[in-house]
Amino acid sequence: MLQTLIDGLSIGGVYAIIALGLTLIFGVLRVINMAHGDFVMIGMFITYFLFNSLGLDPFISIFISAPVCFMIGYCLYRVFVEKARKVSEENTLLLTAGASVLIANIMALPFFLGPNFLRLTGENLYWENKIWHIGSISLNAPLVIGFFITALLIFLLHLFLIKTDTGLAIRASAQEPEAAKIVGINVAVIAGLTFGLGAAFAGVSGNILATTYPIYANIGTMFIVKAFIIVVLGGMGSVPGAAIGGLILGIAESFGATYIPGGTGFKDIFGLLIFLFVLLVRPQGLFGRGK
Amino acid sequence: MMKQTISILAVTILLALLVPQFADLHMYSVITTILIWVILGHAWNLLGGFTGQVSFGHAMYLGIGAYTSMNVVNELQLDLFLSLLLGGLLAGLVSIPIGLMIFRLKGAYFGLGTLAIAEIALIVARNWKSVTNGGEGMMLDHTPAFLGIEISSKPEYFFLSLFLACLVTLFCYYFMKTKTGYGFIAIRESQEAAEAMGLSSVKYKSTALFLSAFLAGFGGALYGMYNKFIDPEMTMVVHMSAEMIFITVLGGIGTILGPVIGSALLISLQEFLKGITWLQTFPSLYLVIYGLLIMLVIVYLPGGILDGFKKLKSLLWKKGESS
Repeated sequence: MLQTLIDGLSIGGVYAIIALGLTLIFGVLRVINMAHGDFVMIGMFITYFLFNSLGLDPFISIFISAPVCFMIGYCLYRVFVEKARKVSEENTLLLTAGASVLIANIMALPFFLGPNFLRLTGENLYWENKIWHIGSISLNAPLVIGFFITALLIFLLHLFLIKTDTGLAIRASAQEPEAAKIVGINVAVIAGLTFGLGAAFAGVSGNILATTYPIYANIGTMFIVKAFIIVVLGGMGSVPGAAIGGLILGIAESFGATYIPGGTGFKDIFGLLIFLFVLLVRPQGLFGRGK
Repeated sequence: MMKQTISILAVTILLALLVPQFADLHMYSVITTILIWVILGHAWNLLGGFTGQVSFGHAMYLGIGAYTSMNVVNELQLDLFLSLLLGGLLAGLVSIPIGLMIFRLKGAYFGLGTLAIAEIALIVARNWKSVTNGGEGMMLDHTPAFLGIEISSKPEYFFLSLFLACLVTLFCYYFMKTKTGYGFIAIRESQEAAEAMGLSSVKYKSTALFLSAFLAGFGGALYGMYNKFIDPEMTMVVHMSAEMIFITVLGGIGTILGPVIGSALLISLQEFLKGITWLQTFPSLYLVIYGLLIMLVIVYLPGGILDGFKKLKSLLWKKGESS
C-alpha cells in the first residue's frame, strides 16, 4: 500500500514537470502545445547522446538539454506559432500538431534516434537500476531525485514570475497583452521566452525519464496525453494545479495497475477516465478559475 | 447547383474512363487510397470544417467502422454494401452518447476531450481480444461482394472507391444546401447568434457529429476491407485523426472541394516522396517534409490550397484590370 503510494508519487513528480511547461504556455499564450511531448523526447535524446559520447550523467546534462529545448521552443514560436495565433485558437492547435509530426520524424532520422528503441544503459551509469531501500520500502532513485528537481523548479519558477522584471512582463502579457504593449513590453519576445521556458521544462523531464523509460522517436505521444490529463485536472494555466495534478495522476495509475485485476493492460485508461470526468464536471479544473 | 453536380459526375466518369488506360497496380493502389481518404476527409470536414468543432478523435469512428465491417464480413458473410453501412451506423450510434457528453466543451477543450475518448477507445481495442483480436490484428478471410459483384482485385477496389467517394461528395454537397447544413455553418460562425435565432446548438452539433461519425465509420470500413487487414495501430491511433484533419486543412477547411484536393495532393505527395530513392535510406524523411508542409500551409494559407487559388486568381484579375 505504502509502496504503491510512493511509486505513484515519484513518477507523478516527473509528470508534473511536463505538465508545468504545458500549463505555463497555455496560461500565458492560450496555446495548447501539441508538440510538447516531443520536447520531452528531445530531452531524452540529448541525455542519451551526451551519456554515450561524453559519459555525462543524466542529471548534469540537464544544463545542456534545457537550453537546447528552450532555443527550439523559442524559434518554433517566433517562426510559426506567432503567425498562427493571429488567425484562431484552433489554428495553433493544428499548427503544433504539425510541429509534432515534424519534430518526431526529424528525430527518427538515422543521425538522431533512428527507428530503434534505445535504452540508457552502461557500466559507468550510476543510476542504472539504482534502488534505495528505506525499511521495507524501495525507491527508484532517479525518480526520487526527479521529484525534488520538480519541487526546486516550481520554487524557482515562482520566484522568477514574482521577483524578476521579466517575470512581471510575462504575467502582464498573460493578463492584458494590449496593455502590456502600451507600457513598452515587447510582447512577442516575452511570448517566445514563455514558449521556450515551457519547452525547457519538458526537456528537463526528458532527462529524468531517460533513466527509466525506453527512448524512441514517437514516445512524445504518450507523454502529451498524460500532460493534457494533468493540466485539465489541475486547471489550465495553474502552476500549483499542474504539480498536484501530476501527483494525482501518478498515484491513480500506480493504484489502478496494482489493485484492479487485469489493471496493467488498462493502466493508462484510469488517467483518461479521470480526465474526461474532470472535463465534463469541472472544465476549469481543480485550481482553475472559471471564465 | 446543377453545374456543380454535373462537374462532380463528369470528373468521376473521366477518372473511371482514364485511369484504366494508364494505371498499373501501384497506380491503382495510390488512387484508391486517395479516394478512401476523400471520404474520410469529408467525414471530418462535416464536423470540423462546417460546424467548427475541431475533433482530434475521429480515428475512433474509423476504427469502429473498420472492425464492425471486418467482423460482419468474416462471420456473417453479408454483402459489402450492407457491412459498410453497418460500420458507419455503429460508429454513428456510438457518437450519440459521446456527443451528449462532449458538446458541453468548446474550442480547444472540445479537441482535448475527443482526443481522450479516442485514446480510451484505442486501449479498449488493444485489450478487447474477443472482438478485435488485440494487437495481432484481423485478416479478411472471405472475398466480399458489393451488391452481388465480388470485389477483391485492386482495379475492382478502385471502381468501388470511386463510386463511393463520388456518392459521399455529392451527399455532402447537397446536404450543405439544406436547412440543417446552413444551421451547421451558423453555429460555426457564432453559436450565440445561432441560438438567439432559435437553433438548438446541441441538436445541430449532435446531428453533425452523427453524420461525421457515420461517414468516418463508412470510410474506415472501406479502408479495412481494402487493406484486407486491420490492427489497432493502423486504425485507432492519433495519427489517423491527424491525417483526416491535415487533408481537410490542406485542401481547404469548410469547403466541399477541400478534402478532395487535400487528399489528392497529400497522398500523392506521400507516394512521390516514398518513391524517391535517396529518400528511402531515411524512411522518416518524407514525414519531415510532410510535417513542414502542413505547418507552412497553416501559417501562410489558413484557408488551404483552395483559398490560395482564389487569392491567386483575384491577384491576376486585378492586374488584368489595371493594365
